[in-house]
Amino acid sequence: MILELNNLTKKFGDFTAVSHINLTMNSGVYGLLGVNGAGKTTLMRMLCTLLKPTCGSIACNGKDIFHMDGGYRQLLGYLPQDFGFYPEFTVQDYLYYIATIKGLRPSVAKRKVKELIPQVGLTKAARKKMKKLSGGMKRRAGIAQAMLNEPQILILDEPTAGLDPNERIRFRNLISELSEERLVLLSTHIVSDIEYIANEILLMKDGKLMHQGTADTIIDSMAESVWECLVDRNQVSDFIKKYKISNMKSEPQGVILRIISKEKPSIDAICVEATLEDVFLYYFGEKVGDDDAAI
Amino acid sequence: MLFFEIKKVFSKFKNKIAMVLLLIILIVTSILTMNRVEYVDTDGGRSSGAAAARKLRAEQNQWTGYLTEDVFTDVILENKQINSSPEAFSEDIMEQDKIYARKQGISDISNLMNYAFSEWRDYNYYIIDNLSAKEAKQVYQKRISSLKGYLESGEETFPDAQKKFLIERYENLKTPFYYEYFGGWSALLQNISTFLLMLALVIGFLVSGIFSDEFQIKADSIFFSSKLGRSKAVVSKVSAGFLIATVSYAVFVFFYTAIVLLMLGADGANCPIQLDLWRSAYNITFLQAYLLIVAGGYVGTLFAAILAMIVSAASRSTTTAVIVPFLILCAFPFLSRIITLPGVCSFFPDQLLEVYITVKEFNLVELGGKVMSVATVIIPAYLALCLVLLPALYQVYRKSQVK
Repeated sequence: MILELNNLTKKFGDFTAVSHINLTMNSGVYGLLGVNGAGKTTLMRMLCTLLKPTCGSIACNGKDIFHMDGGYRQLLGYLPQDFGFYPEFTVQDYLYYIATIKGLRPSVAKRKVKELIPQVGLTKAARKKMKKLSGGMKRRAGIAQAMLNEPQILILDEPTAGLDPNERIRFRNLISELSEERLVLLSTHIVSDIEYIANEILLMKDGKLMHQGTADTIIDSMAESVWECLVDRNQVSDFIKKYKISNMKSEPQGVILRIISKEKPSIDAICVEATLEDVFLYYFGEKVGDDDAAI
Repeated sequence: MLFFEIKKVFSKFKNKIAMVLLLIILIVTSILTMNRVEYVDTDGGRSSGAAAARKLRAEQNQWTGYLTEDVFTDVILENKQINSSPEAFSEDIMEQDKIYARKQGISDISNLMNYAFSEWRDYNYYIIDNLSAKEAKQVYQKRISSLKGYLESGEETFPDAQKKFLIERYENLKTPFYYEYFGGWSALLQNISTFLLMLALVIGFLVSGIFSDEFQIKADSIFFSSKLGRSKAVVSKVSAGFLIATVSYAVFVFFYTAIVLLMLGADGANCPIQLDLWRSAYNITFLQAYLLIVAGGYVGTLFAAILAMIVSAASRSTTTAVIVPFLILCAFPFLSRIITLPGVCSFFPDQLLEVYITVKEFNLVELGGKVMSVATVIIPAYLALCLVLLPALYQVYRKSQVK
């Protein structure tokens, strides 16, 4: 399974949401990392044939996905960011319905629903109406619907957004479990999600793909170093103005700052190993808003 | 797939309320329709509904048969005989009611003669009191001669071709009429248009969310990214809309008809509509008129429902879509009253739900030099339009993009 994006661009009027992306993806988990508004969802929507590109193309095994039409969507499983459901349907009915529109024969649909409900931990809630489910349960129903057709391409847009820490870990493990022998594209602005499960990371900013590679490659791509130093509380604001601060920890004797900088920020600063969170701040620092606070 | 689409519609709370509302409308309209049939007992007591219909039917069916000159003469004599009884000269309303009670058996035939001998656009209840046996022979000719007189009077604006068409229709009407009690059909036809209008509006409401709900609840991404999301799943939505409109219409019209005819009697189905609508230019029976009205209502309902679904698919808003049936079926009649567009108003879709009026009055159209009655033109025309709009609806929805 090869998915090729050639010069992929999407414009909404004057605004360019996705700009000239060239990318080739095979099997494995790809983590698409970027702040809100980076163009992740638009890119994913094009990959799901929900939006047509302004220019460029997407090919699956050499064939244009928009020409493949249903043949391509047969290979696809998608969990959107804003996961809508039919509130009056039970989980079971919902999954049967999605199985039907995915073109599964009734006997296959029945078998798959029976398999997936316990796999996503919804056995007790199978006959509950969708509107009665908790946020985490809804997400699990969402991943179940995406897996119904045993997709070769699984696209998950912010799958852990809004989940509590327990649910997030559980959901992450579930994605890892489901990611074998398929292409999984996972979009998030939560760095830890990517760190744990992605084989390859795609950094996206202002509609463009900035960097691509493993976590180590991405970390190595950072042109600055990470430092840790203990400073007086009254000096903190000066450091914030001067440097990118990736972490602050209050101690009785002062504040330990984690600073991203080319030069040594203070005499007693120690150079430490960079993490993916540092990279995220390095690249997206000025754009990280309230929604990205989850890092 | 179709099953789930239908389930989606009927699992919505507001649609459940709409169905309950339809049931209430069915019950209320049925009661109002049944109360159209009244009966006055020999002691002057009035009643209405099923019991009244039974008594009236028994009396009127004594006159069952072809309305020949002899029957008209007998009715004139019977009327005279009743009028000569002492109660007929009384000023007391109760006494007059007793006279009316005795006349109920011949009331339909008397009405027919009153219409025949009244001025055009007029109805004189007392004309029968002054008719002679000789005049009884002229009832059917009088219908034609009155029309000709009216058409030559200059009071109307019919073109010559339409005048000729009307006269031919009048002359081609088979006489003598076969008569039997038709109170059930008469009441049914008089009230059915209102019932059909309400039915069409509620059906429009039911289907208005079929295409927009996915967008409203944000289930559009999963729907359109699934294998059949832009093909069979859209067909199943179109089919669900069509089925909901058709089955709901058929079921509620069936129940309304069944209730009314079971309670008021189904006799008279094969009698000519002119027994009730003396001046109608449609040479059809009560049953045929009913079928024509119901067919018109169905096409009107379907048209409004399809337009609502197209708006729902294009605007992605259920609220906007809900307004469409109201605009088509309620705003158009209002528009035709304030804007004078001779000829054009007859083609407005609201006319599909007013076939009873079309049957009652002279609503004619001339197409390619051929004169036709409006109902026979608009019903097939809108049905054809529906058949064109269904694939359009499919195309609009399947090409949707999710931004």
